[in-house]
Amino acid sequence: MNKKRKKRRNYLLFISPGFIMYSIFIIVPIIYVVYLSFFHWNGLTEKTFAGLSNFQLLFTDQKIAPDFWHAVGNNLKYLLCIWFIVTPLQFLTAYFFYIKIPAYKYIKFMVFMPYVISSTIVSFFATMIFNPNIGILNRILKMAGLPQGSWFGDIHQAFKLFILIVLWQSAGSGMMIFYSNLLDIPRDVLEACSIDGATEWQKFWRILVPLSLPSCASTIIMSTIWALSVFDLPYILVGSTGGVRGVLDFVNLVFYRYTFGSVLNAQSNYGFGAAISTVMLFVIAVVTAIQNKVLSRFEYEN
Amino acid sequence: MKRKSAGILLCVAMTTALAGCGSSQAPSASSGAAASSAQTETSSAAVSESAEATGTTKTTETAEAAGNDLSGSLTIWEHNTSFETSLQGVIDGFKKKYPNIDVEYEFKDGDQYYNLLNIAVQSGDAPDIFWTNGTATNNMSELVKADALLPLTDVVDTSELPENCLAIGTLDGTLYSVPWSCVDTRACYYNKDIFEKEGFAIPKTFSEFEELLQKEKDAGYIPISLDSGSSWDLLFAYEPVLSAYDSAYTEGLADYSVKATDQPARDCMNEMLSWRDKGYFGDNFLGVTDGDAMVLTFTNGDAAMCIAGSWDANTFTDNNPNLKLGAFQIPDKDGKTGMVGTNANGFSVFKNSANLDAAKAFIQYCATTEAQQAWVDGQGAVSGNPNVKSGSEIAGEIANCDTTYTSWQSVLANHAKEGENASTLFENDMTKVFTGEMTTDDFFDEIAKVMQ
Repeated sequence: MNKKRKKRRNYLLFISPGFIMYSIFIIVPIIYVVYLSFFHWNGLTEKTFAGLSNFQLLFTDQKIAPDFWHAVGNNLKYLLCIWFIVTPLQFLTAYFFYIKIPAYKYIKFMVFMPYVISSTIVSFFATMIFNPNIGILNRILKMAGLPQGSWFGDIHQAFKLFILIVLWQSAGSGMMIFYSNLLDIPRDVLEACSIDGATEWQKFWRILVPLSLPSCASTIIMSTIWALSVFDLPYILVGSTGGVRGVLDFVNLVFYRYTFGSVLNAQSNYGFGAAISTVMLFVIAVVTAIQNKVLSRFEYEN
Repeated sequence: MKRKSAGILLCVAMTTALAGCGSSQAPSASSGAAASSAQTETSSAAVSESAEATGTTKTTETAEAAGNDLSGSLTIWEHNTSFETSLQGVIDGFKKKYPNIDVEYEFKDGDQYYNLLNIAVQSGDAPDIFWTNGTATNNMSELVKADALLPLTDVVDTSELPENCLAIGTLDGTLYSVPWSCVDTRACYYNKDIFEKEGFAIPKTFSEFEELLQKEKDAGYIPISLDSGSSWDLLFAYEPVLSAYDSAYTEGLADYSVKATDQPARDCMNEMLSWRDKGYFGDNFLGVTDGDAMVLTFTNGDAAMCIAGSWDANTFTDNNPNLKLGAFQIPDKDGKTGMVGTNANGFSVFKNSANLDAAKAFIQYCATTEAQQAWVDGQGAVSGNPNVKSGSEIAGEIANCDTTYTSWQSVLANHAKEGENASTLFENDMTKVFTGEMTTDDFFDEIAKVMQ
């Protein structure tokens, strides 16, 4: 009995440093954010208890609620693009490198390179290309006698261009995870398939795809977090207003405008910002829970 | 289960990131030396400095002594890099008088300025000296409520500043910041080379101005460089156009005999929207979402004109030193020209500054004619003080007009109902009007609801 207790104490000893640090830097701030969401606070004067009024404002105000839900909708739209466009393309790219297409080492380097460039720089590149007045794209089109566009000022093109830039920037990260996973697949499995007369398509669809599902799960989890917390790219591309008709307005931009941008009553409002964060915590928790449920099917025992 | 935990941990981390969002690095510069105090002597020192500046050769030894005795270090925050030349000029003058005071300055550029300032104040680590927009926005009054600003009425000798300049730094009869005696105005800048090459002339009436826009467009230029992403950039174009579109109405804004949301204000906005549709802001105006692109479009010669603030003149010439820059005020239908202007606010002192004596010396120096001249020179600004000369040739062109008008935005700031803030509505929604997300009437109606 004493030995068992001693063993338990040892576990606690090992767990406690990590647990304490994690609690201080992760759990406590989250609890504080939730606590703050029940107050009015401009960061300067005393906090005043607000009850549920911050949430009421967020969900019922004629100006704020449509902004917020529109932004949530954009986040979810972005999420779907990540799941169904970006991730499959990442896998396909990894597959091309796996089958060693010509010059694959050079292309692999080129595909991965944008990932190490910060989003700020990527946005700057995008501005230098797509800005209708100072960007290079319109200048080329003008020289070629072709019609020019307003690109991120065009509500029909802005989101597509945004996804294109995200794809360009982030293809490398998921691709490397998929590629490593593909390299991990035992060669003898594929050789056995070849001996049994499997075609390349059958090998791809029946062997490589199923055996890549675990890495797919990790990639999707990372991408989901990224999609729901996107801020820097749209902020630099179209500003804190989210662009024309809020086409690139995401929750973090709404959060930024109302918390720091003096849009609400002309002052910073940390309480209201905390309410937005709390709601998003709930949204992310729900999305993550559903996603985990689905992704748990991707797991297999080696 | 492990993956589930990992997923939840990651989402938790995202929320934490939201909680901690909001800090930025800004360039900083410093000049100076070191050590402490002598408040009462400081004022006399500064006054005698200003006497020198105005041409009086009277230099008091006590002032020099006070300057040499006082030491410490100061940190100053400004909100826009376009003020660097002016600030450096003021610091250089201050350093000559107070060689033992270290002065460091930082620019917290962008819309994070007040947020960073609030955080710094709250943490007790605010800069000793910092800019606010005075009574033009409610940030200074929030800082006063938080007891963060040193009342300056009994600290600063303001005898060298015109009485009307002080209003922007005064709340409930107490001075909280020392304004700059220059006028922050707006102007229609133009590229002289383009005008000469194409034979364009400065318009004499509003209809000539509109004809000029069409001529510029026909010649292949963007008539007015403007961006659709910043309400402030749109405002600085809207106000001078409004003053020309209906000068009688704009004059009425001064005593609030007309409302900021009356029909002429709406008609003018619609007129500008028709300019947008005619491509006078560029065929792809909606894709120009930032002020830098607006400036570059003008300075690289793609646009013939740019309606912007007087403080932007330096930015234009810094961007393209070869640009032959001209400026005029848009005339009304009868040819009358006016300048929409607001007084420029300056610095306040952090009440809990660890270097309060040095900060008081600096703020006193700011109130001298010498410092005011340095600021106006650095800006190339239009002077609002009879003792201070306008800063540049372009300032002379900007100020070459028949009258001055009250800013439409300052009416929003000063005549909103108690507890309401109309400026916020303009800041949030003006871009929506120009991008077609909101109608002009909806925009003005929502403002009208919160105005007196």
